[in-house]
Amino acid sequence: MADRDNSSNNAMEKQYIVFEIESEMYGISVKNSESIERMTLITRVPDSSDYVLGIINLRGDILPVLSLRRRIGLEPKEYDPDTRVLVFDSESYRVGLVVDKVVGIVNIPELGIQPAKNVLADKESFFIESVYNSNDSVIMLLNMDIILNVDHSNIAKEKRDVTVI
Amino acid sequence: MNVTEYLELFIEESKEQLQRLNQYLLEIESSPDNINSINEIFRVAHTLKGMAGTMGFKSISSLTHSMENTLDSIKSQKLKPAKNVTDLLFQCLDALESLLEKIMNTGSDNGIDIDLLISSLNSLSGDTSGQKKPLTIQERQNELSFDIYQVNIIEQGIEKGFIPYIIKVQLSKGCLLKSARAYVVFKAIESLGDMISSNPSVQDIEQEKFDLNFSVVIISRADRDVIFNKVSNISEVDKIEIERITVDDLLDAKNLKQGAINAETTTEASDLLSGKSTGIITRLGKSIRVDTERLDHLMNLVSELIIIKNRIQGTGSNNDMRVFTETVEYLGRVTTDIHDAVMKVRMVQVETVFNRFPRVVRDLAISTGKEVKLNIYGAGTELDRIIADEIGESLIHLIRNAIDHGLESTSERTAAGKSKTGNVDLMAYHDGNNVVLVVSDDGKGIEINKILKQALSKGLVNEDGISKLSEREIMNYLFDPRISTAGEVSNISGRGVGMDVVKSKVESLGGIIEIETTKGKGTKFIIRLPLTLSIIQALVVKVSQEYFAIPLNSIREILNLNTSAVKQLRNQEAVNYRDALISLVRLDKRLNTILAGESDKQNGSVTLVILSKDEKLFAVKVDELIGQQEIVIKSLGKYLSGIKVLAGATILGDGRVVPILDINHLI
Repeated sequence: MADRDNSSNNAMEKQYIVFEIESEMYGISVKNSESIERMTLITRVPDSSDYVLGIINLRGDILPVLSLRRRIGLEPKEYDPDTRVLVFDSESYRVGLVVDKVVGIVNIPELGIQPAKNVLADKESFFIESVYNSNDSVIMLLNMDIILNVDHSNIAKEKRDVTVI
Repeated sequence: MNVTEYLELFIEESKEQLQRLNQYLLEIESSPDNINSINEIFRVAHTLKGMAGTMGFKSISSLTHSMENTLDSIKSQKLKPAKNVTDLLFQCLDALESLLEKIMNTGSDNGIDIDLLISSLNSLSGDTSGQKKPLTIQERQNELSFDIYQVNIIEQGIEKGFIPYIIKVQLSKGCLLKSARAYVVFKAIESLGDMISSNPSVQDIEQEKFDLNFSVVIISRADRDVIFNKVSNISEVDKIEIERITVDDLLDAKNLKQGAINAETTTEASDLLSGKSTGIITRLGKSIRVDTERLDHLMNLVSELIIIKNRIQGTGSNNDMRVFTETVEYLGRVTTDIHDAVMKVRMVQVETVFNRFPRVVRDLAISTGKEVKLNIYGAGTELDRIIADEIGESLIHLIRNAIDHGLESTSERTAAGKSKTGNVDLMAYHDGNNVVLVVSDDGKGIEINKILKQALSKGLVNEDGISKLSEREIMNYLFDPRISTAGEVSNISGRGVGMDVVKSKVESLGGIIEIETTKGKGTKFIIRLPLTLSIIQALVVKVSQEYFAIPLNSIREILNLNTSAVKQLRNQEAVNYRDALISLVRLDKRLNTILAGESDKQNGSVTLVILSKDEKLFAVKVDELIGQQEIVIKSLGKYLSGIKVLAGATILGDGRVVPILDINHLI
């Protein structure tokens, strides 16, 4: 898994899976992306946060699935043929993230990445870690720790914590 | 390199060795002349010493080293395995166990004092001053550092009648050409036998990279004196020491090398372990030792699967329905077999749990002054590894109670016309999809009236209620913490504290516990556990449009009641069930289904599932019963671990994911 990072030719470049939500581009490191799946039947989980869509059967494994739209405060959108589930796997969590559309894998030079707080001052962007700006597009790189590291019962509290950062 | 890989192996193996140690120590205690047991104990101590040395656990290796010396004295009949000796060895076993425990928790065996044990051992074996063995193990191992290749040569040499020696030579202080002199010594030695190694290496000696001392290991047919004379004839040689290398030394060297295929890793490992790597330790997984035959079987089945896949791919092109059906049927059989095989891989013999009990019984018999015989039946019965790990403490608790409170004192037994020695039986057997574990004693039994008195005085039941109680219900009071934790009650009832803990442990493993007792004849505790934790029988129900699975072992009954049976009590609902009101939970509301479930029809009926949680009953309303089936429990994953109302999820035959309800968290 860790080796995938080295596949980029330039040591100063890192690979990101880039996807769209509401026509804006976001990215997460390829290192933590296990696979990209088509939308499938989701079983609801009681007592969970509103952005937890439920659980799916991923080739015999149970995988929790989150709506990234809802997690970052957007209205839900009907699933369409472009909808994908991005399987994120870090040391602590393995979850699926529902995104509008996957653009592909993009090599991003480290030098071009700037901290989000320089650009996005608003509290609503707490989940963006950094921003990459190339000639034709802007890609927002997600802080998955913030996206996932949440107290299920109390989102309000978590938002408070984040604004301090 | 993964350090934990070695550590897990070490812990796993050490546990096994300690269990053997325990077993043979008990044997020695009962028959002190059994030389075979002594040899086994010696072997265990030796293996442990080698393994601990490899991993850099110094306390274990020095303790086992001293044990070896003591055992050696027993072997050579210098020391009788009297009670004080076996007791000391038992203490050593305890110390080793706590050292191992320490390693599991902290990654280091520092901080447990073993000096007293070592000096007691040494005084037993007459090794008081330590003069006989001037070298510590570590030093000796450094001096005799062989690689596996060299060990092999030496071993082969021994088989062919050669004798391995280590020759230590000290040159005179005034020696001018040290390397030349050493060369002469080498020449002389080589005329008598084959040189295996030298310390420092030949290269270093050639380049005069040594002080005045060097040592050589050779194998030779010559006598010690012959070598001595030959070497001492060389001028400028000050001192010569020749020692025979024993098989033990070789074993040490072998153990040292075998464990550490890569010496660097070892040092790295011990450095890491002794230091800050507690993070690694806590991530120690649960490893399991599997018979290769079982793995081979699994492998075969998987190759069958591949064959089936190819056949199905083939049928796609020629549309032959008959072949297709056949293949799918075959697929079904193979998957069932694979399932079985994988389950078997998870199984361990209950012996691994039972093995530590003889020791427990021995210690308890001594401390209570009773004569106790432990009889074990069905030690080969297999059960899930997880269950085996979890149930041990509870069984010890039951055994302790049986000896402490169940069995009478020797005089009481004689008076009652029973044999002087009390029996505690431990039995394991399979019964359908269950493993049954039975702990029974032939003691005085439990007096029902005394339990009742306690239940009355604690207000658990009133005078009127007593007559309605069945014997089983009365016995169940034993598991009530209010009864069993009270000291004076335990004496009267004949049972000790913590029965509630035993019960909740058994239940958390999906099992049940029952008591049978006959006054004057004895008491029997029967524990029924599922064969495995990952597969359970469940009832799948439908609520609104959603499916949920309810574990069958918590279901008491399924009822269709008239809606008029549902009563409104303030803002709660209840139903009349067997002349009592029990609370009613509407699953659609409790689980917030997207659409509401069916509403109660006027004069219609409601489907209720009666559940029991810690003897307390409640009803849940469902819309439809889908059916009972065997389901595989799958974890929801760490991300959803906070969802208490679900115990996991399962995947049905059609691929549909169904949450499994944890009834403990429904109300």
